[in-house]
Amino acid sequence: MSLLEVQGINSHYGDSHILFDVDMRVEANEVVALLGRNGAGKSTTLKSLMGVVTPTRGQVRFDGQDVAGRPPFEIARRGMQLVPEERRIIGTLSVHENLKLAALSAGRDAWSFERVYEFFPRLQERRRSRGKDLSGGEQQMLAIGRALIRNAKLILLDEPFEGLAPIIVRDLMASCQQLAREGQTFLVVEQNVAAALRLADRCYLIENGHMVYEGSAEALRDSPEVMDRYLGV
Amino acid sequence: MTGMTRDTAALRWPWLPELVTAAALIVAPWILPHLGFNADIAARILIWGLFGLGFDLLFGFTGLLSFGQAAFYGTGGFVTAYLSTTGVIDNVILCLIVGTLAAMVYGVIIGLFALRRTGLYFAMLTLAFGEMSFFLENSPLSEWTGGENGIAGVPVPSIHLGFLEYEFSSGWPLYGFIAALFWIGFVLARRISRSPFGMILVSIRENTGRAMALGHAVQRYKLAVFTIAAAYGGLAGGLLGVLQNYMPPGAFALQTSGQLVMQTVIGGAGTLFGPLVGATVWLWLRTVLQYIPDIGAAWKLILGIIFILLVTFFRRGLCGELIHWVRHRRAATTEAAADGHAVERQVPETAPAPERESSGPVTLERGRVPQIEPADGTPALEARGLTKHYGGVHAVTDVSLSIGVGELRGLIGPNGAGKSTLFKMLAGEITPTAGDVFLHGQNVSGVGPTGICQHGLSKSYQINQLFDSLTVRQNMLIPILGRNRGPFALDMLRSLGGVERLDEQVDRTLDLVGLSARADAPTSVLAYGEKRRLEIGLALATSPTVLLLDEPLAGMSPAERADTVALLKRVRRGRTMVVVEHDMDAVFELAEYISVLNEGELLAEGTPEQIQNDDRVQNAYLGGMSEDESA
Amino acid sequence: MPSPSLFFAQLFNGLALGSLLALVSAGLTIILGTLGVLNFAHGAMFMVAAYVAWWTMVATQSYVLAALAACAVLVVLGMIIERGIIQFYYSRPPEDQILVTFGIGVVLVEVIRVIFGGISHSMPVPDWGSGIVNMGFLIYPKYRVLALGIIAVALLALYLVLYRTRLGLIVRAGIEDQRMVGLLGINVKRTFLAVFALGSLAVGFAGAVYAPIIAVNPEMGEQLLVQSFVVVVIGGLGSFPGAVIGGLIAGEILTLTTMFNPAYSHVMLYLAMAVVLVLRPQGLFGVEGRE
Repeated sequence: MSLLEVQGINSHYGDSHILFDVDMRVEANEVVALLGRNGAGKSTTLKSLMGVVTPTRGQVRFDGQDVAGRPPFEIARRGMQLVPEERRIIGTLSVHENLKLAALSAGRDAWSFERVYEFFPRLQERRRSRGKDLSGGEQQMLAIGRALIRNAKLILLDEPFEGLAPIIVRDLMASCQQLAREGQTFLVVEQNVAAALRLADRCYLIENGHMVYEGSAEALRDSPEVMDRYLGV
Repeated sequence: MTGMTRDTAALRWPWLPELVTAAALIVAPWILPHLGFNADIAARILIWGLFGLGFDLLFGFTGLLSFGQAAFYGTGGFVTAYLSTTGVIDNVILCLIVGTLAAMVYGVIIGLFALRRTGLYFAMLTLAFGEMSFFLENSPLSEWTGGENGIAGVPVPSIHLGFLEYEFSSGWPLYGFIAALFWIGFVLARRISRSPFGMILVSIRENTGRAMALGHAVQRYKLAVFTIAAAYGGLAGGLLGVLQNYMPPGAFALQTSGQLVMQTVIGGAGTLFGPLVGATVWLWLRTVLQYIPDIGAAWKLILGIIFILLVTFFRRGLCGELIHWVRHRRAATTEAAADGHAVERQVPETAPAPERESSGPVTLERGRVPQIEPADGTPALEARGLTKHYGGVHAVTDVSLSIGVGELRGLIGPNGAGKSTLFKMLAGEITPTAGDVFLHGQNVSGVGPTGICQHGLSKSYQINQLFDSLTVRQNMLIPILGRNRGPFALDMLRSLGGVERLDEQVDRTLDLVGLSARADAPTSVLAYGEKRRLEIGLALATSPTVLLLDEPLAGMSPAERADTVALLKRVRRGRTMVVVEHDMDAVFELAEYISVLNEGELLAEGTPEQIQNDDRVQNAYLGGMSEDESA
Repeated sequence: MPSPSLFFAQLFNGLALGSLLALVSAGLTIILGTLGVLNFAHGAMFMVAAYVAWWTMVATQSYVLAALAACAVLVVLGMIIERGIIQFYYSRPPEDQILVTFGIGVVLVEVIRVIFGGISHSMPVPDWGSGIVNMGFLIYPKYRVLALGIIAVALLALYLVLYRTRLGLIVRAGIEDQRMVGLLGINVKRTFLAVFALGSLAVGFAGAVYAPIIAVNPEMGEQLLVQSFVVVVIGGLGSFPGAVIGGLIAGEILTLTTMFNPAYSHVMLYLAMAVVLVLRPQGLFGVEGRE
């Protein structure tokens, strides 16, 4: 059984129909990329999985249970963690408090603060700084750190590299690759197709709310016509 | 001709509510005594009702919940009482007028501060300014106001016309005087509510931001209605002193503002009659319950509980629920179910067009702001070095664009490229950190969304910004009124039907966006695609020379997309358009020239072919694929 | 020009009034920041607490029991109000929330009026608080000095709750970004009840401590409600430091201006609010562009 199995979900924003019968699955210890143009429904897919948007139809089986229609906090407690596009660091809280907040409802097997700080030494240095004083890269580390300290079974990364300088992107990429090697499961949405493909084992392409392609990262890399059609200009 | 209203009763008897009210006020002295009301209570109810007419325009129509109306009630009351008791002015009616004017002046002063904020803050601020007024009356001004003692001996009004001498002595004659003023106040308030001015007030309640972007100087309308409410308060306060022969300092108290709010909500906000009905309930309960032992002391407790129940379960109030119920029944029994009756609160209905000459001063030309006309050889829209930084985040950096007259420009770029920020700067919604925007060669930086719209640039939004409780037709009126009347006009006494060629303009735009058949449907029942078309229609209806479209196809099905692309092709004649859109097929089909933004900077410009073959653009979209591969 | 001793006396008076305003406004502002509800019944709740304290004091002669009773009643009252009414208003427009809490305030005032009548009562000062203290620059009733200390301790306790506990962490985070707190596995809605109870406890304690100082009558909360609104506007919505500093500023304005012209003291307070509004609309400690 897959860690995540999505069957035929449909989602709306108000009365606008965004997702149409989307199917997908993520195996444990796998990195899956969800690609598509702006407005294709990538973020909405992640939000629907996490319960931020309630799917109007369909099933989201996570770790053996259907979580569609559950509120986000329950889904988070079951081990799914969205790292949102805007990162949403609590600006008035310190780095350490942000981690503490994330750890409040984490299970017993969660990462320790030390382990998170070891993994992101930069956060250790800035542990007393307030969230709003962090740079973009530091905020992204903290956002991922919040997922780690909760020991999330599945981390949903929404545009993790957006707006970051190339050198920072490289560091973060290395961190994510290391986590993946250690068995962390990711579902990544990323505009930077190259980066996403380097991280991912398998890919989905979504267009106008429909899943249009599924295949391994290599297969997609070798099909420029598919990429041009769904991702290019 | 398509009439503006389907309300046949209103069409045949436009003055029916006024006449019925007049008749009721005239027969009241013969009926009320049998119901336990004496002249004093009847007059008090009318004073509260008059006070409430202004408050209802402010809260029920414009959506501004003020807890400080006592300030104006007290100001009008004390100015009137002071003038009439000291003999500075020996005509009580003149004193009332001066008192009302004083309240209006005070309203402008308070309004300038309180209206800087909205929602919760507005409620807190008006409450605080109300209390400030209470303290002003109580001590610093006590030399004139009598402080805690108030002013005693306020005379009753009288008429001296040489041949006619009449004194409105207390009792039913004074009731008659107050009833006459109430009626005049009611006629004016109803007139205001049905005027173009009133329509704008409702649009502010429904969607302030969009009303602003459609060319209405929202702050000035708010200040105007705040002042009107102050005027009603001032007159009512003056009459209170006259009725009681004494002006109490309690007029300034928070309880006065609170009572007004509660009465209006109990009776029904947005109905004009609501405050009067609420006052009747309030005073009746107080009078009747007081004679019942054990319950007498609890009359206000009972009222409080009724109030909580009404707010929780029947938010429209007594009148509002009744109107809603009647309309609901009527809508259910007639074929025309989607008849505009589903409008939750009363919105201006329009009278028939023919009697145009009777509708007061013609403000059409006076208020109108001329659009900036296209000039030869000058680009329609130009951005020079536009930059927007939020703290350390560089959303847009040094972007220059030049869009020729009649051009359809596509603006594309990956997520977070800064397209929305750029659009907001072009539309005047946010102020650039640096750089300028030129419309037909004229610098329009810093004129704000209202000014930009009046100059002839309009924007449709990515997320629908509609006036949800209005019908499609009424929605369309808002931009057209913005075009016809300019950013601000005080055409309060003019009827909507009296505005020249309004119907025709509305119908033409509805036809253009294919919504003629849905004209009288409430916006809330439209399908998503229809709402999208209405969204574009609102921007179109301002008759812009330059039209910005932010993701016009967002969230549409393939069929709706095709329809909308066809619509955009139709409307582009004679216009300059800039389109942000992620549907590349649509962009390449529509635009003859495309600008690409990436990470806040202009990456490339060119024809669709050039863009499609531009490696930098492909890299931006695919994340530097080719470079990485070679690396 | 006022004498130095009068100045110091008024400065101290301002501190006493300011600390009270700080505690009351802190209760108001954490409820507003977390739940998004502006509680117009806050002043009435202060009044209820004072009545409970007065009644218990008269019945038992125990100040400690009086304070405990006031706190207990207010916590229970707060929970009843949140569960019974306010929880149904979270998804309604702010105007409706204002209307309903205003209605709750009216009902509370009227219930007290029906039970105890409209006249003023005075709560006796406890034995250990009677008498006066000579502080050199002024002679002051002993209880008032102690009350200042008690309120300061209460503010410190509230600070510790907000900055040293789990609930406090959630509250501070929730004031800024409720959705993210939910995404981190925390049921924010469940904390709403606790936050409302905490805000009620703050105002309840303030009411009990202040009951011996001011006249206990059904209208006593009204002034305080308006002044705490001013404090929230000055200090910034949802900010605990803002409530404390804003409270102290408001207290000093009210008392210091009295030296020059008592008639204008309240007017000056509202003028200060207007100035803050013009120069720094989000308040001294408010966050700009908060959700």
